[in-house]
Amino acid sequence: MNAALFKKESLELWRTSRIIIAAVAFLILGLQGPILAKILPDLIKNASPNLSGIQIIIPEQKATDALVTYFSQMSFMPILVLILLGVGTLAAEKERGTQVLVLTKPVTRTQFILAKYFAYLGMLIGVLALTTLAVIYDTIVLFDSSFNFGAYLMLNLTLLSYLAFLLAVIILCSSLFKNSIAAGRVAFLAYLVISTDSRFLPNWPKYLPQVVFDVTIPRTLLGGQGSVTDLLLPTIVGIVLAILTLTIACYTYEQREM
Amino acid sequence: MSDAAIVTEKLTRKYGNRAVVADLDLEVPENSVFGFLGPNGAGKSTTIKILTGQIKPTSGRAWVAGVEVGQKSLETKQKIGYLSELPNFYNWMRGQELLEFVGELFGLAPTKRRSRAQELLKLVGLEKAAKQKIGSYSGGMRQRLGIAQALVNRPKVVFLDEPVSALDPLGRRDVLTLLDNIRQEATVFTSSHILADIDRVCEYVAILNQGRLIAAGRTTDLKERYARPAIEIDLEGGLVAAQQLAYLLKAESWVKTTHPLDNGRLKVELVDEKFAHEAGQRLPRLIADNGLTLLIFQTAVPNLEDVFIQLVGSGENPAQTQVEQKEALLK
Repeated sequence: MNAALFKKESLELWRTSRIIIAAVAFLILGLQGPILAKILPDLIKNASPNLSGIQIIIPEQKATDALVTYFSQMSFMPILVLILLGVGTLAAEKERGTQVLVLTKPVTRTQFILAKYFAYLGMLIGVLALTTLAVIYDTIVLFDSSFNFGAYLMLNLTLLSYLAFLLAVIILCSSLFKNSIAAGRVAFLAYLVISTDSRFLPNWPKYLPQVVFDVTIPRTLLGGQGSVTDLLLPTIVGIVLAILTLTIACYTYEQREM
Repeated sequence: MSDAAIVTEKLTRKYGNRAVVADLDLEVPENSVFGFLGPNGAGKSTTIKILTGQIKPTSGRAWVAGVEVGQKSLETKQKIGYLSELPNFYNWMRGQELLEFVGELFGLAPTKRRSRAQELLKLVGLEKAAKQKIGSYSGGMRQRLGIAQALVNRPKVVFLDEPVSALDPLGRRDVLTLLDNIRQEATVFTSSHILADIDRVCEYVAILNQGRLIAAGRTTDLKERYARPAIEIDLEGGLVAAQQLAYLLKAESWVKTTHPLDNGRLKVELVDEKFAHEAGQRLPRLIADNGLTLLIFQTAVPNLEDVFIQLVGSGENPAQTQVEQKEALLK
């Protein structure tokens, strides 16, 4: 990877406030998990006078419920934010003509793509680490019950591998189009397909990184049952998919003309 | 291979069946300012894009600074500087930052790239705007920054695609002076549709039409060869009188064509130099007989515009002239 390009991309993410936007979005959406889990019984209790004749039994909300809610919260909106922030990274450079400035210098297109990918990945790691810490703090403050901390960290790692894969898909879409809007549409469509593929592949979910959005497996792991190593394979699958997608992006970008 | 800075052999680029650049044979001498002319859509920018490695030729070969284009693209890029027709930069960067970033891409050490950036900002007159964000730069400032970034690596060949098109007359003058100075260090390959500018700074030119080379050589040689003998006349009464005389001259067989000039004068192009004597005798008489008053009567100095109009306007067969032009260029 080209250090000058990586530095420039990282600086661009900072100067154009993308890092701040991503951090705020991830934090707000992540923190909603424990808060929602905490206030859910009260919300239903307050609504119950209007539900005369219906008896609703709400189990006591625990830390594991809060964290499961956090992971399901991360399955849509943060990804949408990621698409919005990242999809223009190559398409907009083509649109504005700034890619010519860089690609007529002694750098390869693969270096150009990798610098962008790793700068965004760096941002994602930072933002997700911050969200992970904030959510754990929030959960400890709001709930007394315990949970498997190692499983929580491992689930976040699997989530990161899924986001890294989606980021590669976003970069691929951005490299294929000269227009950010077209690239964004295709990236969103690709995300919809990826997020629903487990429904069409009934035996696969446990091998895919999307497993973190499943209610059962995270609950089991956070509750101290099952083995955290079960998440190792989905995490590796996410990383492999990211590498494959990135390879396709680099190859197609090398073949295309400016 | 010759010592030329740029060599192309049968360089062709097609889009579908349409050849945008066709069988281009060109040699650009080292340390020269080379003007690449042609009407819109002639293939100038496409040629520059091929030579700078942005697009691939359909067929043919090209060498820039001794390196074959497309074979060792990083080595070629290390030796060239490039300014696109509509230069765009990262608006969030500052002027100096951009030049340092470009220097880093070329592998310059931090202290070296900082001093090179400052040196270039001074050269293009942007030292006061060095810390300003590029987003706040005017069109002229961006153009000058574009030239500066093309020089960061002390390139052997600088490609400038329409470098003065967005500038006001003062900015144009500064950039042209700059181009003239660069030739000490590098070969400058510039395209422009402003013929007067090319005429001023380029010692060599090539004219492209419909993708084919129709003329190439020393600017002075081309002017001598292609510019028609002409006479410039200034009459009392300005443009109205000039138009009256132009109408009268339509009947004269030795007159090829007439053009009213911006300064109110009339340029009379002769069919051939042998009619110069006849024109010298007949024109003053014709003017006097028709009640017009002659103020100035002089031989017109041939310029590149004459050559351009003569060649592009006449639709000279490009294929026929290409070999001939290459020979002229090498003389």
